[in-house]
Amino acid sequence: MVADLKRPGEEEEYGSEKKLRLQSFDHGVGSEPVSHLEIVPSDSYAKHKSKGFKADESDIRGSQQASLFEEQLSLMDHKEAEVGEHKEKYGRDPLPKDFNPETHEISFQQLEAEQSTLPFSKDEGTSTIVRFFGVTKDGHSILCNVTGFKHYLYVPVPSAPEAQDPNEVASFTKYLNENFENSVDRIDIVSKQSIWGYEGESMLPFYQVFVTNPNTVNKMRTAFEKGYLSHKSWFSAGTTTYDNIAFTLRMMIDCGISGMSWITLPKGEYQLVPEHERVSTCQLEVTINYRKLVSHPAENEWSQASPLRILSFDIECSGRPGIFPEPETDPVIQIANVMSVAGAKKPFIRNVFTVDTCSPITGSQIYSHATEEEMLKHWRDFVVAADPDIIIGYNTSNFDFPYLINRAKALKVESFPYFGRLFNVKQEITSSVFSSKAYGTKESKNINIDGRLQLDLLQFIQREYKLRSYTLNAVSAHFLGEQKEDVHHSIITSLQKGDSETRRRLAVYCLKDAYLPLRLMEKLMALVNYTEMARVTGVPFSYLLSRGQQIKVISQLFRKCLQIDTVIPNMQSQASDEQYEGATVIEPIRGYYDIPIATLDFSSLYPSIMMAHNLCYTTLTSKSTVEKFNMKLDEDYIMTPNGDYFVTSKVRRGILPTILEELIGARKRAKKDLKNETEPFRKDVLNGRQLALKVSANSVYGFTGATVGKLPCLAISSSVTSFGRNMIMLTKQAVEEKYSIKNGFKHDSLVVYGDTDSVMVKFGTTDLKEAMKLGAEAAAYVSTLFKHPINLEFEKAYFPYLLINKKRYAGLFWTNPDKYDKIDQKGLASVRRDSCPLVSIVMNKVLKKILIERNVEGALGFVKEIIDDILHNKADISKLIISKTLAPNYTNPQPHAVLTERMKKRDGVGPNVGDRVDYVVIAGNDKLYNRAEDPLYVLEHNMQIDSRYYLTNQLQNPIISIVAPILGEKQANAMFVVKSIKINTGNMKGGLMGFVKKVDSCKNCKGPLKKGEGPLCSNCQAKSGELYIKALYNVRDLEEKFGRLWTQCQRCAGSLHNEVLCSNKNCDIFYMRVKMKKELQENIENLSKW
Amino acid sequence: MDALLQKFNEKRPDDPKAQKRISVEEREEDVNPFALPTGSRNYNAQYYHMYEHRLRTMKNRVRKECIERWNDDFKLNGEPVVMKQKVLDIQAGQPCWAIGSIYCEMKYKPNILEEVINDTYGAPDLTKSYTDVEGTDEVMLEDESGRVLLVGDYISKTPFVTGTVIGVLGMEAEAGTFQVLDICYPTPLPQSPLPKHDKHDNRKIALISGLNLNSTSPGRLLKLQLLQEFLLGRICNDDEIINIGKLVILGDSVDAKVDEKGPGDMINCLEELGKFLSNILQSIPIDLMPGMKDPTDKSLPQQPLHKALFRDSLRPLFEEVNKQLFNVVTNPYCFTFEGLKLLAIAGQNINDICKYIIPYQEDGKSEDSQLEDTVDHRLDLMECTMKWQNLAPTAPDTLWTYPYKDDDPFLLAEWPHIYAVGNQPDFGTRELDLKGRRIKMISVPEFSSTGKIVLLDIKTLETEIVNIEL
Repeated sequence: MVADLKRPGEEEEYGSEKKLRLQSFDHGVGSEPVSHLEIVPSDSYAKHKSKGFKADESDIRGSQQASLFEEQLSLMDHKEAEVGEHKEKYGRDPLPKDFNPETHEISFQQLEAEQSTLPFSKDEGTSTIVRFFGVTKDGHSILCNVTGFKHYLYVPVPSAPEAQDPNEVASFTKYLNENFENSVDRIDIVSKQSIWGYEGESMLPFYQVFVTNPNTVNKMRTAFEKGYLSHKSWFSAGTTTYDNIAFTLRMMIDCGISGMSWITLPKGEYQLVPEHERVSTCQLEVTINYRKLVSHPAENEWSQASPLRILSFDIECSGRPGIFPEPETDPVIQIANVMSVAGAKKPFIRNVFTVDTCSPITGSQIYSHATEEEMLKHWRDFVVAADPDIIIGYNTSNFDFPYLINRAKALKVESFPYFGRLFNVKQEITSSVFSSKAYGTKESKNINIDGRLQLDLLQFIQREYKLRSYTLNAVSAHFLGEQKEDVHHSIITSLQKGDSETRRRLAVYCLKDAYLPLRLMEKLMALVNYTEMARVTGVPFSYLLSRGQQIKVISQLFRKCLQIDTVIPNMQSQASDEQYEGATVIEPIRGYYDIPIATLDFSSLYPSIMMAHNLCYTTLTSKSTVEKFNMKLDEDYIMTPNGDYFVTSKVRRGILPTILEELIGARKRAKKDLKNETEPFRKDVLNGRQLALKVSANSVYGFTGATVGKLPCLAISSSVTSFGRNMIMLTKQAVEEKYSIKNGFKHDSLVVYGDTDSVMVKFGTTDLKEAMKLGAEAAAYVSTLFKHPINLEFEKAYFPYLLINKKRYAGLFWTNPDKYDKIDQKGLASVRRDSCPLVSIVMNKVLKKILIERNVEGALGFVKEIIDDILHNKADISKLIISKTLAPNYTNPQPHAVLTERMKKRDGVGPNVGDRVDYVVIAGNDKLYNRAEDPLYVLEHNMQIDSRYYLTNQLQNPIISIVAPILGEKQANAMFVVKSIKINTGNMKGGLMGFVKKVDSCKNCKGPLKKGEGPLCSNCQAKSGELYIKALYNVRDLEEKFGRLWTQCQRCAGSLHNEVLCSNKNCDIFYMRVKMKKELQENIENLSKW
Repeated sequence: MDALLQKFNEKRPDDPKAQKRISVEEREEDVNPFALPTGSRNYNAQYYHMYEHRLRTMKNRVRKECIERWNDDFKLNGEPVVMKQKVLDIQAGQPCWAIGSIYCEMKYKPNILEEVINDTYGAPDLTKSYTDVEGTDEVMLEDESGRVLLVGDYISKTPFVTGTVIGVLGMEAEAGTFQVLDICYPTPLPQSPLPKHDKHDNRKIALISGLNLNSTSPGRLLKLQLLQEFLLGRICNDDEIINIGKLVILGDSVDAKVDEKGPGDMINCLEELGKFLSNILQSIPIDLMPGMKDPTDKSLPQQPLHKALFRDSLRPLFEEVNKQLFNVVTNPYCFTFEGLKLLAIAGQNINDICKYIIPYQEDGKSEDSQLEDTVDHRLDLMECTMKWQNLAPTAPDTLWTYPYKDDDPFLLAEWPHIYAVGNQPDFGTRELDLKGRRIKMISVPEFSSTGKIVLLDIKTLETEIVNIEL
């Protein structure tokens, strides 16, 4: 059956059978990961975990260990233990002794490219070079200077008749040289065509102006464009210039080098840089002319990765109470490092640099230092010696690196900021503001570590996944499925001031924080996926985190244009308010459908529209051109529903459709290879590749529509959406027309909803199998109505289906009629970020009950139970926590800000700006912002939560929205009508209360007790046994919970003999254990009255 | 009314066949280490205190033995063996020994964090075993300074559970792993001398556990009736019955659930238990210990059943003066009969340790007979607890426990003469000889499923089984 439903050419998604186990409540409705990168657990990770830090490859239960004493000992005598513990061996393997540039060719994977100059030599008239840092297959580091390449720009040859005369060109060259620092090398006249618009096939002459100093290109460009050049008034009116692109990227494009690709330097063609002229710590430093190097596309053997050395680190600072550490005053006390080789099973370096002594940690090295200065110097030496190719960490760009550098500055450790590969280049902090439509505006700090890539996992995850919280705790709980012990930064100072044992505690914690980024990187395949993205789009690796989406399309566009003699105009980027109509949404027929709803999807809708209709810059044409060339509609050109003209591929094949075809073709190949590949690491690479290809294909459309962009073309983007809209409407018509009673079907079909690239069809049948069959048929039928490669697919059916509103629905998701896949929900996550976890928990459970168990009664019962719990103050407080980040200043009083003030007054310390503040809303008649309270404080003081707030402001709307389609608005609302809420105001003070005497009350009827009576009044005495058992079983329950919670924390802390210090508020049991402790104590006191 | 009754009794002729039951004198300990009055509890402590205390106490005992065993001249591979004060002082390539607590990292240990996250918390716990047959379990040695992974044949062949304190001899192989070549238990404990019984008698006590009264299995009640008749000497004309001077019930007397429906079921079962107790008490004194299923604390040590659980008419029995007749005790508890020390526990300790050692098999059989859940195996594990000198080492890790501060009542200060563990699958007994100290170990079976009662001869320490079957 499944096979029947698969459409030809459709392949199994890689790893679809491997489901990632997500953990923590965070994955509830509140946060669907919305990344375009899917997580597929990598095999290497799985192995890694199961192996841990164990003895050998073989089972520890040790079948290989002979039972005899002596034999065992000789086995134990292996060198590894000594290496692991006593020697500082972490440098790279040395070069082969017989290495000689005349006899050895070098192949290396380049990681980074930068523009530089060779001070004393010139090649082809320029001393400008592009410096590549890379690693060879054998793990040797290399710096390769590529010489001789000259930057250039294009301008159209002026219309003056003499402009093509070589002599005239020579004098123009001279003129330019006089004005631009003698940097023009030569001007060639070449035939090119502009990418913009179709105006016939003819090529036009262009000046290609080569310069020896790339920095003058932009000045010259401005001069051309603004008409500052007075030479013979050729350009006095200004002209469009072409091919505006950065020098290094230009060089890479022209040499066919893409990001993270391999380069071969043939033997005899390159020169070693003499020892005294070397500038780097790389093992090899060579020079080669750009024409001599061989660049390899990332295919076959060249799709491998070199053994990159990855360093992950974390620092601990000892702050003052209540103040976030400041590098000017607060010392760095520990730096933990974990270093691994890409693809290896386990890290080969684990160490901690500490100030003051520290007890040993098994399997890790401790370097103790008397002073902070010594530690910083030693760490710097360590980094240089260990020579990592990539430095990763969590928030390293904005915290760890700037802090270290500023701290070294404060301590006057002059030698510290030199841990890049260029030993004379100082590491400095620059601030930049990155602004992108997709990622918003962020201020961030950059540190130049020449020759080493940086991958800040925080930035990576923020870019690729939408989560409720981005703390390392939350992120590792989410992706790795484990909670970690969190030592609050206020405790760090006291641990440091303790003895070597407490500092060891801290070191273990620090080491774990250094190890987690490495594990996250492996799990999320950050390196692999980004490497493939760099290769597919051609941009250097570092661009992927620091630049937006456009540069990737630009890079591909330039590469393609180079091959077909096309040049790209430099358009002045200007913000425009010009809007175009987006995708269409068919008005939903809201309701709860207890019959199968088939979903028909256009696969890669926008790319396939562009391919099908040949929409591109190069095919865009106009009415006048069409008339001029006497073209025929629909044969030579088309008119889009938007009214734009494009020539058909018969006339000219567009660049964008070609790029897209290549991307999609490459993705198909990658997926096919993936299927046949068995080696886990290669599998990861291929999977990363196919994902990168998919993402790239989808970003092309966005590029054409980005009005603040390099090359916006609304004619393309609005034509694409207009085609899309028509297709959705046409699909609706076609399906409803064909699948109708009048055509012999049992029911009239109905499109209940449609959005962008999918339509939901109710065929009317209650049989899932039949609905799926009809869905597949309908998809095939409708596909025939559209041009190749537009393809409508049937993938899934929802049964039942709850359609709440536009972009908001939920349903049980079936791809196989025998077993459902999951609950799918869209847009219900629009639960506001300031809602508490209980909302998503309740929604998930209600959906589960309604959709899977088909138990509406049960769902309602559950909601009632929750409402009841809230009213009786029984709800788990950790599920009621609302959490907000504290900003520096607020104009209006905000609950969390007011609470922060109150906490500072109360305890002397409180959250800092930038911290997330957790609070719950407590009962009372004050303003809401005055009723936010710290959950721990609430637990400790038995405060009443504001049940009304939680019911009406948190639960009510989301719950009603999913229940109303089933029950009807009225009944749904009725659930939340609470007759009375008993609010215990807690401390009653003043007035007549002073005269009231406190009297113990009967445990059962709450009546006052006489002296000597207890715990029950004489009336309730008869029920004594029953009541005792009730009280006792309360205690029994709590005893078990108490035991289980605290032993769990003891285990998680990784030590039985040390106190649990954890303050990880993201942990699901953090508040629970506090609550249990308190409740148990109270209940046991009650019980003791018996 | 009373007067009437007296008259009636006077008129009743004495039963000529009535015999006088033998009496067994029971002396109470001055301080019961397992007593934990509800009013005195403080739940503000964490569990690390217990481990700390345990390690501190046991380290001295273990060290003594280690020094004796691996003294200064002891050499391995030609190298002298060094003592390490701390686990983390262990250096690679140097033969040494160290003392620490064992911690077992096991795949199937119940994990409340996971249960909460996966929303399965509160579902009945069906864990049959913690250990993973695939072999992912890890045994670690730990002290305040840190942990080291223990490897080697010794580890795979010796039962290890969290919380025991031992010494290990070996060498660090790869960083963080320690190859164990030999292990060492704490130095032997004192044991009070066996009392001399010159009287020519054969006094006995009866041990029973797991009556498991419930309202769904009428067979159990019937069996209980038979038991009652037997103990009262009404079934068989066995003169021996009068030699049974005491009945000790080792936990799990009732098996009723208290849930949303209320405690009705429990009250009914207690009613039946109360009847049984009051009937028996007419003829024979009872020591009543609670077990896992009984209505008292869920965590160890369990406190005596509260009088409020029983009918008013039974309540006077709970008074101090009646202690010789009816003694409600803690679980675990140490009884002293006629100078004999009997250490008893309702079985939670061994049942939990089994989960560390015995992998779960569908059919209960294992290819490795070592890993089968047999009485013999359980006796082995009981023997281990005596060697470890820790009655319940897995508390608090997997056995819920009161968070003691600077105390650990489960550590033994002296070895008992008799060690009885209740609620075991079957009866078994073994005489343990630990460096000249003899301990009689008895696995007391669950009565509801086996119908077995254990009779223990106070003089000879011999046991016999009475089997009551329907």
